[in-house]
Amino acid sequence: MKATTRRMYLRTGMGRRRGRAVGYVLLAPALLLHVLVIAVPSVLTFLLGFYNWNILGAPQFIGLQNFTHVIHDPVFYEALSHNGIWTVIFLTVPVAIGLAAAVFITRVHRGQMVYRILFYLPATMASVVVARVWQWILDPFNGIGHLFAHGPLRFLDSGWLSSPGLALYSVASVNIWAWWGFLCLLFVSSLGQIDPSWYEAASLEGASGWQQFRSITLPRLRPVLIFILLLTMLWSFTTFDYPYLMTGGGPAHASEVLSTWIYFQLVNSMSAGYAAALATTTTVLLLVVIVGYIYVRIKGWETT
Amino acid sequence: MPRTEGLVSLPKLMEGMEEMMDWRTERFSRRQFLVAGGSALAGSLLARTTLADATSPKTLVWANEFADKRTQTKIHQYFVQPFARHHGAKIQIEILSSNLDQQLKLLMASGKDPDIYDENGPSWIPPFYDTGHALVLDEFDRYFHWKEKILPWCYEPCVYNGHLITVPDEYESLHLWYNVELFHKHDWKIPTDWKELTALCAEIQAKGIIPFAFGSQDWPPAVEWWMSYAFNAYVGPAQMYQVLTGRSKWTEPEVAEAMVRLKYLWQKGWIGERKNSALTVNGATGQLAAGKAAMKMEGTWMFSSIDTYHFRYGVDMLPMWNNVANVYPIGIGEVTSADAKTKNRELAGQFLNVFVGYPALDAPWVDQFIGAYVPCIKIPSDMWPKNANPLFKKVCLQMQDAMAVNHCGYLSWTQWPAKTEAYMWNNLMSVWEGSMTVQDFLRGTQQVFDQERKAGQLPVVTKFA
Repeated sequence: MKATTRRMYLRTGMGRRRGRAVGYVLLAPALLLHVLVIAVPSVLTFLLGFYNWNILGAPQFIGLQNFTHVIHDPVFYEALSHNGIWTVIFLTVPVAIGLAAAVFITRVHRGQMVYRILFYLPATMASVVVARVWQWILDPFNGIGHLFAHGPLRFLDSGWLSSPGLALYSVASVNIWAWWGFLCLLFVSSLGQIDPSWYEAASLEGASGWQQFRSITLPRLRPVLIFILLLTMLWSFTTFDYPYLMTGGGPAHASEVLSTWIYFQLVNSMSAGYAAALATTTTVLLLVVIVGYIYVRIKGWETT
Repeated sequence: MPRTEGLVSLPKLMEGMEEMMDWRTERFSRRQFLVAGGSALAGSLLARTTLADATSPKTLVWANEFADKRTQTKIHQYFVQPFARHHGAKIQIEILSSNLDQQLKLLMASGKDPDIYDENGPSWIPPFYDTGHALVLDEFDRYFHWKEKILPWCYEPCVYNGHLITVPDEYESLHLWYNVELFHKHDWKIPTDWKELTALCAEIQAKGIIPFAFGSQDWPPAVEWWMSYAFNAYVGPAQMYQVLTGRSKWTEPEVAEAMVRLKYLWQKGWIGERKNSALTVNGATGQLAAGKAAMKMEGTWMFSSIDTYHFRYGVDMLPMWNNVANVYPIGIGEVTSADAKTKNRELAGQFLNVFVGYPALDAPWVDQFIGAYVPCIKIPSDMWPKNANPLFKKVCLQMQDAMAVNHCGYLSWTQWPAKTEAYMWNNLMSVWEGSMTVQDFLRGTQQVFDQERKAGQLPVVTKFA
């Protein structure tokens, strides 16, 4: 069928219906996969929240008991607050570092690729490897603290992972170390799409560097920034690998986050029903973030 | 099924194929080829299966936690090969090294039940029994006379709802380990009571040495070693028996005081400089060996690895903190059970009998599995292997003497109900760090304990005092 004939055919009612049908058929495999690996387990997890199940035996229906337990669980609130702190940290620190580094990288004309690779390198490493290496570095008896215990840098001799006041921030710092390079790369790609003539025009008009950044760079980066902020919020509430690998949520739940607490309930306590109730509660909390994002889209704030 | 049947069927099938495949007349259709090929494949598979069924020995899958090659080699040498030779059976080992309990439950949840499995202690087995994963062993108990052979305090916690559901294969006790050279150099003496203990800890700390090495990064439940020690050292076995059997409360002042004193030791920095969350259990042993720490509170299982650190160490009784008699807090460190779903029940029962300790009497078994598998039977002094580690032998014989006169205490992983134990070790660090009060901790403990008591899940506790 020639292109013009096809366009005319698609304009007819039958053509439109057939076009839609082809679209649905092509979407069907992805939809089926989604139903199997996302929708069904999600519904089952929600339902499991109403049961008491130790994984080995048959589940027993207990109504809302697990959800009531969530409301009265002090560790849940502690973990939730840590997720909140984590979100604030990750919405600011790695974003700021990544953006600053990206701006500087775009101004470097020689060896720009070397910087890109160097900054991105930690993001390519497996979290297990990064966590283990940093555990050694922060080891209170053989690590960095021990090395500087008697010099002017003796403040480094702290229980980075063993002190309740430091553990969460230490783990977050390690995660930031591995993460900001990825954000930097995203920013570099976005900055590369800004037409240099905008800056030239602004310079001719006498705009300062800060004014150019505020009036040209930031608005052009808005789509990627909104995207990063949304992802950061979602990932911050589901973060697991670094807290689990480095401290296991300890000491004394000082670095406990919702995911590690859910994991503990499922795998250590074998309370699958309670873990499901915790997971459902976390999902409801995340829905707030998603609704917020939809609002942002409706308002059109994520467009340049 | 006769063993030759499979072999006969294959040539017959081949003959049939030859008849169908008339190459000379080229009358062999695609359908005929597919049918013939399929039949041949099915036939050969059938033959292989039939042959395998007829000739393969019975296989027992044994899930254990010993991943290191040295122990596995010994397990093969002293358990697997003699048993397999004698019974014409095959033992297939499934190593669940990182977290035995978790991995075992996940294995079972996925329908891959082993025939035999190790667990961390008798209090871990009731959930398996309640869900049909632990075989009732009463029949084997009567046949092999296990009740008469196994030490009573080891046997009793293995009974649940009136049935024997597991067998103990190792007993252990908490001890004070110390660096002999450090103690000689500073002329320190082993403390015998609370006053001496605290004075010594202060003196050691003043010299820039860690009084007690302690790490729990790779095994967070290690904090319960200290908890068990505190209860035995301050509350004493007589009152702990009352608490563990529900006749007395966890919130009693003596129980609370034991936790207060333990918190004091930890907050002073005498236990791992309060950095145990960032140090592994073996890392702490390394500190003791290197002289960075003077003492370590750990169980007899440390005999299995301490010689690899190459230093002079000593082992002694832990000091008591109150006017209670000196006791050895003893417990079962490892139990072995058979899965109720095993298809080889008889063989499984015979394999469990190995753990009740007979090989120890005619082989250098005890010494080979020093600290890992210690048969829970009375081993007379003259029956110990000549090359046995003298310190281990001394400690074991002292423990046996203490058992004879009931000078023993309780360990949380043996005499505590499972959920109460988990609640306590999971919250103990919060008490030490001060984010949970001792009173709240004990109230929570009592709550969980009451639930387990109501559900009939308290283990049988031997009365020691």
